[in-house]
Amino acid sequence: MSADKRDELVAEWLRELGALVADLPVVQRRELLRDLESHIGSELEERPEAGETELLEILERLGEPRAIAAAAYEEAGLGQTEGRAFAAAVLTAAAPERYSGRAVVITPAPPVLHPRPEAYVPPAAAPQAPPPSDKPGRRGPSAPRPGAARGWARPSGFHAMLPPAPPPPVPPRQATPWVVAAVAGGIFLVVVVLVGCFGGLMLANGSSVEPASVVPAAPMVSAEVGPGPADAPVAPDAATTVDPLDAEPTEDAATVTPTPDEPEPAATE
Amino acid sequence: MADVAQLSTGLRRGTLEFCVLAMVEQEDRYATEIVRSLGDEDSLAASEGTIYPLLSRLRRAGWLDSKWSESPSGPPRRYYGLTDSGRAALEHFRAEWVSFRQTVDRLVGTGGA
Repeated sequence: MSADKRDELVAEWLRELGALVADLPVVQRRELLRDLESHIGSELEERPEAGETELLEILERLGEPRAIAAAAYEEAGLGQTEGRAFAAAVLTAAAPERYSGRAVVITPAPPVLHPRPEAYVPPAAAPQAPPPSDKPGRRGPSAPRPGAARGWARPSGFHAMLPPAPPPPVPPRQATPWVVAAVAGGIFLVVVVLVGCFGGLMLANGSSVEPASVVPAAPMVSAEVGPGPADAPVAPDAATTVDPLDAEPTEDAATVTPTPDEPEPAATE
Repeated sequence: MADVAQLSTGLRRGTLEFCVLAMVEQEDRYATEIVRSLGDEDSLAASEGTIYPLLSRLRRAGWLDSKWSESPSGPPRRYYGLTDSGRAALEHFRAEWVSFRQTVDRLVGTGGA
């Protein structure tokens, strides 16, 4: 895996996490992202020939971004906000599905780490160097780094990740307005059909009600009420036959009788 | 099965931070080492990434202090040490924990194992 592709994958993972912790105070959020970025960088540094497998393993040990975000909200003490409910939901819903007994995952799906072919061009930002300090006197790095092939001086996608603003968080619920609209539409249609049937029954009160009389009545009513399903050509026909409700003048005025004894609308055609 | 997760979460919540404090009691340690050691403990059930927010909180609470160390060929790395108040908190936890653990062991019948 090329270094650029690796950077891209890491940047994508960090972006994903950054979106999930958007509600954190900005300082804590930046800190978390920076800590994780440093962690990944250090881990990769210990394996100069790291490929995608090693990188995925590192990310897997870090855990699911959602679990990390939940922990971040919890540690930030966001008690009343969505962050807290989110954390509780994640931590309790996280069943014992675990990768290698460490990461707590939410879904049984594999990690969502597919490097997309989009061209992620990291802006040439200089690496943010914290105030340099001496190495700790008592304990140095755990493993010697024998001539790491890749230096760290170049402005890489890692550091460029931090300055740009992360994308806005994806709202978790998007289907609700559509569901509501679909249900409302369904209810409306049912009501229309029922009123049409009822109207037809009232018109053919007492006499034998042909099924044909009911059908024209329905589109007639829907034309009267409002948008009806493609019944414009039918409406004038229906209006000529049985129509005490809107009393439109028609060509076949003779056939229009206000009495409810009009049995055969089709016969008038 | 959610109960299992909830139990370990609940147990972890009060104790994990003291495990972190204990890790830097003798000497300062790099963040990567701390999270790696704790992440390796299966029964703690904490992924490495979830420990970073804990480290930050302990630092904000004044129990840990952290420094960045420049690495010659890698990114700067953070390392943590225990503060005086962190040391005191750890000592206090030790006393509390032993008595708590003994009581629970006695009540649920796991004492003397």
